Formats: sequence, structure tokens, C-alpha cells
Amino acid sequence: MGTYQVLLADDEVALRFLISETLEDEGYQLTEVEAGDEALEQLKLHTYDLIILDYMMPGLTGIEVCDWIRREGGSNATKPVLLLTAKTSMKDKERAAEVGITEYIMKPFSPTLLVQIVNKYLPKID
Amino acid sequence: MISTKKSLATFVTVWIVSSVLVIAIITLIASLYISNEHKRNNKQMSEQLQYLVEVQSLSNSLNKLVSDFRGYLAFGRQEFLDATMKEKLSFDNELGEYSRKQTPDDYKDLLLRDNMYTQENMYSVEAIERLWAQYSQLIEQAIVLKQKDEQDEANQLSKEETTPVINEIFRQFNMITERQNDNVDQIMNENRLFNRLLYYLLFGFSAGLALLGFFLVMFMKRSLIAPINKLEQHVQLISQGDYIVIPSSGRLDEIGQLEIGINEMSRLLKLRLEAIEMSRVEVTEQRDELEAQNEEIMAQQEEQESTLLIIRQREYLIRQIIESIYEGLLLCDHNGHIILANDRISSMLELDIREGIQVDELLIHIDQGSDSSNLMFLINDIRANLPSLQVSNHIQFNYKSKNGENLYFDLYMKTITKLQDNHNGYLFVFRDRTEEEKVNEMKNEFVSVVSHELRTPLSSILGFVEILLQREVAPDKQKKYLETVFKEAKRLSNLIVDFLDIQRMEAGKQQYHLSPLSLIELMQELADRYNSSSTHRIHLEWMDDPNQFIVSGDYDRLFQAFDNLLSNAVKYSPGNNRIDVIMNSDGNLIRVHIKDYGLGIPESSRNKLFTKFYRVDNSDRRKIGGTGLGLVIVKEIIGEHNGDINYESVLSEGSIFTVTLNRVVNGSDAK
Repeated sequence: MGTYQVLLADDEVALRFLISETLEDEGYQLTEVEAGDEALEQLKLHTYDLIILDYMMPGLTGIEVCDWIRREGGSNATKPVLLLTAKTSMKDKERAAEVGITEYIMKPFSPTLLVQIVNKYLPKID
Repeated sequence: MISTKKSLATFVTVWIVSSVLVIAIITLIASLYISNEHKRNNKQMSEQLQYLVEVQSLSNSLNKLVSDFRGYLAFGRQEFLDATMKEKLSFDNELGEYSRKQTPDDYKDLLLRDNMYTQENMYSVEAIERLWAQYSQLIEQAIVLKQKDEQDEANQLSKEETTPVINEIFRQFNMITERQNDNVDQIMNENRLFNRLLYYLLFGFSAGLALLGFFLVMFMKRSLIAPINKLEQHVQLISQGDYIVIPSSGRLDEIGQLEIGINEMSRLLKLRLEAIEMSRVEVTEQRDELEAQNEEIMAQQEEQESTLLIIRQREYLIRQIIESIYEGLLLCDHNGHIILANDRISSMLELDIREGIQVDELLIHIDQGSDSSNLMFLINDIRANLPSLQVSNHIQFNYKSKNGENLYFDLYMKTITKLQDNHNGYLFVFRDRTEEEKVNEMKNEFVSVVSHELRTPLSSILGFVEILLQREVAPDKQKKYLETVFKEAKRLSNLIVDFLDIQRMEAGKQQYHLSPLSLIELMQELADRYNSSSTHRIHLEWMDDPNQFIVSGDYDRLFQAFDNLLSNAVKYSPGNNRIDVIMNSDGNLIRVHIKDYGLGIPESSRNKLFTKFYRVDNSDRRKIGGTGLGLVIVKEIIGEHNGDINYESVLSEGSIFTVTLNRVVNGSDAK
């Protein structure tokens, strides 16, 4: 039993810093990428336990990445995918649901909340 | 009154006929008498001539007898004797006949032959008969003597007895002949007389006729021709329009009738003419009236025509308007039949919409292309409540076009009361608001981008502060967190400032206070600030006279613009800390070149570089951060100064941004 592997894709330095600090503190192992295509590369190479995607990224958006994951993600296909976004409209939420986003997290978000959600899908094994 | 009317014709005819008859009768009688006499004469003459011939014949016979007798006497031949006897017999007969003719049978004949010659001839004939008797005897005696051969006695007898008798007979014969000749002459004279009479008669007849003719002519002239001439003159006058009255001559005959007739005619003509004149006047008046009416009618017609023209023009105008507007127009009657549809509505909805189609069916068609539910409500409402539907509202719906594009429409509906024959009509106006929707979408997009841009730094700030508040963090980590917070807060602040600047600029509310300023001073101040605090060194240089670099500008705004450019130059050259600012003047223009030796800008970004929130799509650059609004602001400010901004760049080598501004000469704007 190792640590959970989490893939984080976000183009914002500060956010990546925040999330990595938060989750690594919880004991998760984080892999950070800055863009959607990079995320894809990583997903093709490794299997993760959880994937956190920013919506707006250069190249592929979080939605598009999730869509890929669910269809061609292979081992990652069924893994929980969290979407971080500032988009608030119903349409975006519907779209997210369509592509199989597991959780839709609005920015700004509380790190505590994030931890709770991640724990939900990656239960701590004592 | 035919009985009292005398007829000239009758009169003339009677006269002519009677005259001619009289003359003819006279002539006839005369000529009959003359002819009679003539005939009588002729008869007489032929009688006398006959007698003459008979006498001649007698005479000849006697001559022959005598000759034969003498011959016998002389020669004693038998044939002379035979001949003599024969001739004596025949002469005897002849004479007897002749005598008988000369003797009148009755008194009638006596009367007829009542002329002296006839009587004398009778005596002669008697004498001749006596003498013949004598001679016959003597001849017979002679012959006997001769037969007895007493020649000498015979001869003597002949000479003494017979010859004188014969001579006497011949003398008588001559006398008769003479008398006959005289008779004949007389008769002939009478004939000639009668002929002459006949000529005279003919002449007289001709003369009489001529005279009659002359009188007739005179009479005609007086009675007929003169009055007719006069009448003719009058008729001439009448025909020339002078309807005179002919003075009546009082005659009761044809001329009189003619006068009356002509007068009557003249009178009637005059009346007719007057009547015609009156009716002509009437007709003229009527015609004038009609003309006036006609003019009125024509004027009305013209008015109508011009009204019609105006109406047509109006209709045309309205039609043009209906067909030119951007909205689709539909008008339907109280039964829902479409009575007017412009072309736009058909092209707008990509359907063939024409008059006669039911409006609710059309709406169902539209509904099929839409996922809005309010069309159905409208359709049901129409179906339930037409023709008395009262409506004045507005719905919105979307609609899928044939090429898959999503269109958005406004539909305005209004009841028009008393559109046709007291029934309602319904007006439908379709407005294509796809553009607006797109703009809205863009705005929403923009808002969402802005909101994203705002929320993102905020996320970090709040996140880190929450962590710091919630738990114990190691001091070095604390510092890092706080640095991040600070950086992000600054970024957020810049973003807000820039964003508000742009909003203000775009709303046209940014005020520029222009005054002459020295670009060199401005750039110097900027350079000093950067040089004192940032990681990079700004190297400022200018060519030409520093006084050349006066521009008319808003100091603060230009400062902001160049600050943004320098900030970009600094940000995007992480590997090199040199920035060159080169200024030169070129005629009326000043050029400021900001040169960095950094990452450069890919050519694919050229179109979008000066658009909102655009940051070059590259992970290297995304790291660098920034609002994506800086260049937008620079462009706006430079634009307001009537300047220009452009750049050159080579990837991995750096970029040169060039700002061109107008120089101010001697304090006035040399634009």
C-alpha cells in the first residue's frame, strides 16, 4: 500500500502551489503539469488514483481532458476527476456532467473543502 | 277647291288643242274639198283623155278604112275589100260605143257633164253618126259599083260623094279632138288652180300654226315663264336664306299654287330654320354644359389618378419598407390565415411562408426547429382563442438553422382590431437577435473570463490564508505562502485596475488631458524607477536634439502605456536583464523603441496580441503570468494620442516594440 497518486493540471503557479501544499500535507503524492496535453501524456504513461484538472488551460481544457480520460483513459478511465473552475453557469456544469466530471469545484475554494472531497474518493486506510 | 282652281295647264291645253283642232279641221275640210275636186278633175281628165284616145282611135280606124276602101277602089284586091268590110263593121261598133258614152244616161251624169264642150261634142257625135251612116251607104254603093266593075262611077262616087263626107267626118273628129283638148286644158287649168289652192292651204295652215305658236309663246311667256322666272328668283333668294314672302298674284292656277307652295315652303323653312337655330342654341348650351361636366369629370379623374398614384406610391413605399426591414413580418386574419408575409420572414426561418398558410401550422413548424417551450404555449393560445384573441406580448425562442447554426429570435405579437371588415387581425414580428445573443455570449464569455481571471488569484490568496489560519506552518513555509499571497494579491489588484481602466476607456469615459510634455523626461522617470527597483536595467538613449521630443500628451496615461511596455519587456526576458529604450525623431514623428532580449513572440500571436486577456499560449509564458490586458491598454492610450504601436520579434532573441507619436513644433500641434 503506497500513497495515493494524484495528477494535478493547472496553469496557475500559485494554485498549483496551494493545492500541492494542501494535498502533500495530507500525504498524497502529487504530479503537477501545466497544460492539458501534458496531462494527457502523463495519463498515458501512468495510472493515477485521482485527477484534478483546472478548466481553463492552454491547449486542452479540463473538460476535454476529462472527456478523453473517460473514453480513452484506459486505466485512468474510471478514476475520480475533479474540475476546478471559476465558471458558474448551469451550462458549464451540465457540460462537466456530460463528460464525466466527478466533482465540480468552484474557485475560490477552501483548501479544507478540497481535502474533504479528495478524502472522500481516496479514503485513508488506517 | 279643285273646282274653283283654274289650271293653267288645262287652259293652255284646251286652247292649244282647240286651236289645233280648229285649224286641223279647217285644213282637213279644205283639203278634202280640194282633193275631191282634184279627184273629180282627174276623173274628168282621164275621161276626156279616154275620149280623146277613143276619138283618135276612131279617127285612125276611119283612116284605115278609107285607105283600104280607096285601095280597093284603086286596086280591087279582095283583101282590101275584106279589110274594108271588117273595118267598117268594127268602126261601126266603135262609133256606137263612143256615141253611147257621150250620151248621158241620167241627170246625174248630165250634171256632171255640164260643160259646153260636152254638149257640143254630143252634137258632133250625132253629126258623125249621120255622116257615117251616109258614108257607109256610099261605100257600099261604091263597092257595088266596083264589084260591077264600074270603076269610073265608083271613082266618081268616091270623089264626089264619099270624100266630102269623109272630110266632114274628119272635120268633126278634129272638132271633137279640139274640144276634147280644150276640155282637157280647162280641166288641167282647174287642176292647177286646185294645186295652187292646196299650196296656199298648206301655207296657211303652217302660218296659222306658226301664229298659234307665236301666240302660245307670248302667252306662255306672260302667263308661265315670266312668273316662273320671278318665282325662280324668289326661290334663289330663299335658298340664300332670305325667306321672303312672294306677293301673291291672285292666280288660282298652277302658278298660283306654286306661289302658295313656295310661300308655304319658305315659311316652313323659316320656321324650321328658327327651330333648328333654337335647338342649335340648346344643343350648344347642352354641349357647353357637358363640356363643363366633362372637365369636371376629367378634373376628378385626374384627382383620382393622382390620388391613385399617391396611393400606389404609398403602397410601393410601404411594400418597400416591409420588404426592406430586418424583421420578418406576418399578418394574419381572424381565422389565422396569413394575408401578408414579407420575404424576410421566409429567409429568416428558412421556410416558404406565403399568404394562405395557417399561422398556427407555421408556428408548429417553427417549434419543430426549436427547443423553446413557449412556442407551444403560443400555439395553444392561438388555437383556443382566435378570432377574439387579444394579445400584445413578446416571446423569445431559439431555432436550429439548416446548416446547424443556432439562431435566436424575438417574436412580438399584437392584435390589430378592425383590420378587415370589423374582424381582428394579428401582427407577428420576428426579430433575429442571434447577433445580440452572440454579443451577449461574448459578453458572458468575457465576464466569465474576467471572473475566472479574478477568481484565480483570489483562490490562491484565500487558500493560503486559510491554511495559515487553520494550522501551524513552519516559518519558512509561512514566508513562502505569504510571498505567494502577496504576489497574487498584487496581480489581482493590477488586474482590477487594468480592467477598470479598459472599461473606462471603452466606455469613452477616460479623459485625456493633453499638454506639451517631454518624452525624454517621461522615459527618464520610468527608467529610473525600474533601474532602482527591478531586476532589469533600462538603458535609455536618444538621438538628435532633446528638444525634438516634445509631444502633446497626457503625462499619466503615456506613463502608464510605456510602463506596461517596459513591464512586459522585463517579464518576458527572464534570461537577460538588459532593456534598451531608443528614441529618434523622423520629421514630424517621434519613435520610441523598446527592445528586449527575451523570449520573443511567435508570429501566430500577431493578430491577437493586442486583444483582451490574450497571453501567448505557451507554458513558459503562462508561468510568467500577467493580466493579458496590458497591451490592450497601451494600444488604447497610444490610439488616443493619434499615435501608432507595432512590434518586431524573433523567437528566443527578443522583441522590439515601437511607439510612434506626433511631434509638437514650437508649442503647436504639427499633426
